[in-house]
Amino acid sequence: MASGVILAKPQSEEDPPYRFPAYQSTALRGPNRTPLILRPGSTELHVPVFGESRIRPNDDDLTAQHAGEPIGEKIVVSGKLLDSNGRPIRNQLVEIWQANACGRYAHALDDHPAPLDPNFTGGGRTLTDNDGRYRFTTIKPAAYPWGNHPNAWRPAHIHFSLFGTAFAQRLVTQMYFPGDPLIESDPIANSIRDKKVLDRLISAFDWDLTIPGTALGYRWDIVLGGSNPTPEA
Amino acid sequence: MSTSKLGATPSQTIGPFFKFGTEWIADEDLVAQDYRGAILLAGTVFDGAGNPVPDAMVEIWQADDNGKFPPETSESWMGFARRLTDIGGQYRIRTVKPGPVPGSSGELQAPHIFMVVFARGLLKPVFTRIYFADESGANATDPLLNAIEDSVARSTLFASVKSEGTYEFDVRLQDSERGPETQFFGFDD
Repeated sequence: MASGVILAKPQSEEDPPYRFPAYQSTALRGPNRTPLILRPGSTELHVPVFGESRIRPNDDDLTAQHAGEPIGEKIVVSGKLLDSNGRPIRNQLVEIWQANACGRYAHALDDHPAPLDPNFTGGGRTLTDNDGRYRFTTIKPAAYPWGNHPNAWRPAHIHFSLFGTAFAQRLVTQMYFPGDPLIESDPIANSIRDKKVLDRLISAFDWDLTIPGTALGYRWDIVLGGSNPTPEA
Repeated sequence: MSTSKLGATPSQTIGPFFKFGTEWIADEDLVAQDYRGAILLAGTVFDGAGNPVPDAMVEIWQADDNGKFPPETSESWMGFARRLTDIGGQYRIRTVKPGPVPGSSGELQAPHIFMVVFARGLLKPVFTRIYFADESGANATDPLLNAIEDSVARSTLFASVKSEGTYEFDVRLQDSERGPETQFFGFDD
């Protein structure tokens, strides 16, 4: 242990645990052993570079990816991707995917009997700008039922996939909407045990992002931790 | 530690329905078939019942064969691959053995690939490292391998040689008849 590559620390309590009985799928999939906390090496401290060439026009406008306009409430979702010191994470890939305005995913295995929208797939991507800012135009997703427990409904959410400045920061998460009454009964959201930490997943309505006559705006900043590995003593 | 740090955004599960959002980059290999030293890395993700996980997203990230990362590599080197596991829980990626890269104290480590797995039922991803069973010399002096005292846990970190140029690395989310739970890693915030 001379190199101290494994840190004698518990994993952060802010993230959800692997095993969370209220979310049934964790039972056979969540590891039982505690992960070893690794002092990141060169591999974990580097990160892929996704260039502009991978982003096509309209990848960031989910309402403009088909011949017609999708059904639903058009919204703008925008915010900053930051490290825990508040520094912008620039030119980095942000991916999103979501259900449509009826709560149905464009996925073969989604059997929720709500209509698909031929003008909405629900996947998008963009690169952050020099201030770490991302911006998507989309449709507000709806809540949908799921089989976790009797009368279980997921609150409306948008999935986000994020890369930082180090691969150890890799994050996939979900953004929720303010004032959604389903959040407090949702086992996935409440796997985050500290209410103040859960609040970080709830976007804020923002007049400044609103496009008059066209779209309401939601602001959501994302902070990727783990960017500052413990320095050598 | 400064107390003025911003609180990190917590993780949530990738869920079951991510294919249409993430598959756009899920068919790229790290190198072409005729690349010198190309290897195939393949394996299966298993759950705690020993069943394959057909709805996982697997990603790898690694140095090139000289131990370099972008932007110090050739422009064609992405270093990254994503796969959505198939109905049998399998993934398959063509890559190269990475060159040795420095660890947290600058010492050289054995060649390894970093892997992250997301799935429905995982509220946060699992991170692990893939070492190569046929690199016994380098593995013997690797600081991380030497720091893992549990030999069973350590044994889960090696890709086995299936045939010339083909390596197999399974991810076991829990103990099952398929073998012991893979050793996973976390990072300090």
